[in-house]
Amino acid sequence: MWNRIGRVVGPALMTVGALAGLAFAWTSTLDYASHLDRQVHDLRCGFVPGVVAAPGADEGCRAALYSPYAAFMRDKLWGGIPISTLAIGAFSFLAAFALHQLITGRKASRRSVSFLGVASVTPLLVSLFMAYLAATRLGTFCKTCLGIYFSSAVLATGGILALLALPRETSLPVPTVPDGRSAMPSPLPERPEGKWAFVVPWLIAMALCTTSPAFAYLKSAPNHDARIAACGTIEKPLPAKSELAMKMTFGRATGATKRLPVTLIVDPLCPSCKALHKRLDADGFLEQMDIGVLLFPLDDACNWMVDRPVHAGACDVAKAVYCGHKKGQGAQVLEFAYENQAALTALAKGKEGKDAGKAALAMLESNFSGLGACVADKATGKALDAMLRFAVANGLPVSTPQLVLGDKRLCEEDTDMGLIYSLKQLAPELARPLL
Amino acid sequence: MNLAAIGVGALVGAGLLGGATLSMRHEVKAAASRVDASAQGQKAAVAKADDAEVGYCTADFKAVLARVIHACGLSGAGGGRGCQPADVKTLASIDDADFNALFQPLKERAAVVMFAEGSDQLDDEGKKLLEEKWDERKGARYFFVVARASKSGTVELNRKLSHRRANSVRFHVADKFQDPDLDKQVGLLWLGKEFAQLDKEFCAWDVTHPEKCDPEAINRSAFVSWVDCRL
Repeated sequence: MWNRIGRVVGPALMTVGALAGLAFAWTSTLDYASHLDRQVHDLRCGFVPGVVAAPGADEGCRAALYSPYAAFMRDKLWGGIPISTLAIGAFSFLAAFALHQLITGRKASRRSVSFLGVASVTPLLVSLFMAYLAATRLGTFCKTCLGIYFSSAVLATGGILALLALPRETSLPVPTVPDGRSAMPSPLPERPEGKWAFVVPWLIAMALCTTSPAFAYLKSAPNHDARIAACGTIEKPLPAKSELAMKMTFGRATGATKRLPVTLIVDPLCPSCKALHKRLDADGFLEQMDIGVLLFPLDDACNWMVDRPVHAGACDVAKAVYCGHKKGQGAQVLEFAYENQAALTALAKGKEGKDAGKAALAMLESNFSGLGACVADKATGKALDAMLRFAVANGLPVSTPQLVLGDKRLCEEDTDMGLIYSLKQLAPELARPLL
Repeated sequence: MNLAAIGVGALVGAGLLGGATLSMRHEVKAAASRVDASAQGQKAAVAKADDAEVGYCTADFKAVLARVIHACGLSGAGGGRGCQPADVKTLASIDDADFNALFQPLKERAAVVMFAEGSDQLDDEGKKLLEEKWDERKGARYFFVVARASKSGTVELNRKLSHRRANSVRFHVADKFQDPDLDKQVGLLWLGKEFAQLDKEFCAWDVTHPEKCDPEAINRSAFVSWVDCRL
C-alpha cells in the first residue's frame, strides 16, 4: 500500500492540490489587478475558480481584497503587490515538481521526495496564518481564499503521505506475466538516494518561480501619483477652533503628541465608511490622526442633496453621534453604530422618514442613555445642517466616506486598495505600516 | 526516462507560470488603459453638494429670484443693498397678484412678522418667530425679506417705513446670529403700499399676531422666508 501511496497517491494529490491552488490564486490576482483602474468591479468569488459572484454574494472576497493582508509593499505601490502573486508562483512550481514525481514514480530520488514533501506544507502554513487573520481581524472568509486554503491542505496531505511512505516503501516483487505464460517475480527498483546538492537549485528555482509573478506585476502596475494629487484642496476650510468638525479620538492610545489633522466626512450607516474606519485602524493610522468628524448622512430625511433614503435612519443615527459627542462619547457612539450597522440598517429598513430613524435610535438609546431628547432638539438638527452646508460651501461630492488630510482631499478611489500608498503620498509624515 | 520527466515537469511548470503571469500582466495593463481613458473625460460624473432645490422653484419663480438677487445686491456685483418698489416693479416684470402668487408655495417655510402701526420696531414675538425661521435654514441659499406698509399715509412715508422694517429684520438677524456671509444670503425688498399688497388669506400663515390680523394689519409686516432654490 505504501508503495502505491509514495509512487502515485502522494504525487497525484500534490498535483491536483497545486493546480487547484494555482487556479484560485490566479483568479484572485486577476480580480485584484482589475481594480487597478481605481473603480469597483464584480469579483470572481466562489468555490469554482473564475466564476463571477452574484451581486451581494462577494462581501467576504471584497473585505479580503481591501484588507491590509491582501497585498504587501502597499506603501511603495498603489494597492501594493497582491500576495496571491506569490501563490501563483509557488503553486506553479509545486504542480510541476509533483507532476514530475508522478511521472518518474520510483525513479524520483528520496531527496526530491523529501524536498517536495516539506515544500508542499509551506502553502498550508501560510494559509493557516491567513485564515487566522481572516477570522480574527476581518471576521469573514472569502470563498476564493477558502479555495486556496483547501487546495493547500490537499497539497500538504499529498506531500505528507509521500514523506510517510518514503521509509515504508519496499522492494517486494510484483507478479509479471512475460509472454502470457509464467509469472516471474521481479523486485521493484530501489528509489535512488539523490544528492543534497540538488536541494540548493531546487530552492533557488522555487524562490524564482514564487517571486517572478510579483516582479512582473510590479513592473506593469500603473502609476497613480498624478491622480492621487488631483482631488484638490478644501477651498473653505474650517477655522482652527471651529466646533463644526467633532474632535474624536480613535484607535489605541499612543500618547503621540503630534497628530496629523484629518477631517473624516462620514455617514454612520454607510458600509464604506465603516470599512474605511476599520482599514485606518488596522493599518495603525487612526492613532496618528487628530480627527474631526463631519456627518453627512445619505438620507433624505435631513439631507436635501439626496432624493431618497440611501441609508434609511442615517439622519437620526448621525444626530445621535453628534449628541454623543456633546456628552464626550462621540467616538464610542460612532464606533457602536459601525459595529452594529447591519442591525441598525435592518431596524430602519422598510420604514420611512422619522419612523426609520426612531427604530435605529431605540437601539442606540439602549446603550447610550439620554440621546433621545438631544436628537429631537432643534439645535441638533441645526448643527447637522451646518455640517451639510460645509459640503455645499466646498462643492464636495455627494458621497461618503471622504477623508481630508489637512486641507488636501483624498480621492474616493484612493480610500480602499490604494489607501496606504495614497496617504503616504499626501502625508509622508504618517508612520509606515507593518505590511 | 528521468530526463524526459524533468523536461515535462519543467515545461508544464513554465507553461503554468508563464500563462498565469502573462494573463495577469494583460489584466494589469487593461486596468491601466481604463484609467487613462477615464482621465480623458470618460469618467462618470459624481454629484456635487449643492443648495436645496424644491418643487416650487419654477422657471417663473427663479426668473424673479434671479433678477432680485442680481439687482438687490446679493450677488455681490453691485454695491447696493435691497430693492425698493420701483425696482421691484421693473425687475419682476409681473403684476401684483402674480408676484404674490409666486410666494404661495412658501406657506410652510415662511412667516409674516407684523409691526405696530407706524412702527419699524420688532416686538418680542416678531423676534422669536424671525429667529425660529432663520434657524430652519436647512439647505436654503437665500433668505428673503419682503417688507410692506398699510395703505394709510403717503406713498413716500410708507416707502421709507417699509424700508426701515426690512432693515430691522436684517439688523436683528445680523446681531443675533453674527453670520459672516449674511450679505450674500439676505435679500431685502421693501414695497411700501405701492406694490403687491398682501390679502387677508395671508393671516392664515405663520404670523406673529393672528388675533389682530386684518387686510390692513397684514401689510404692516415683513414677509420672511428661506428660499430653497438654486440659481
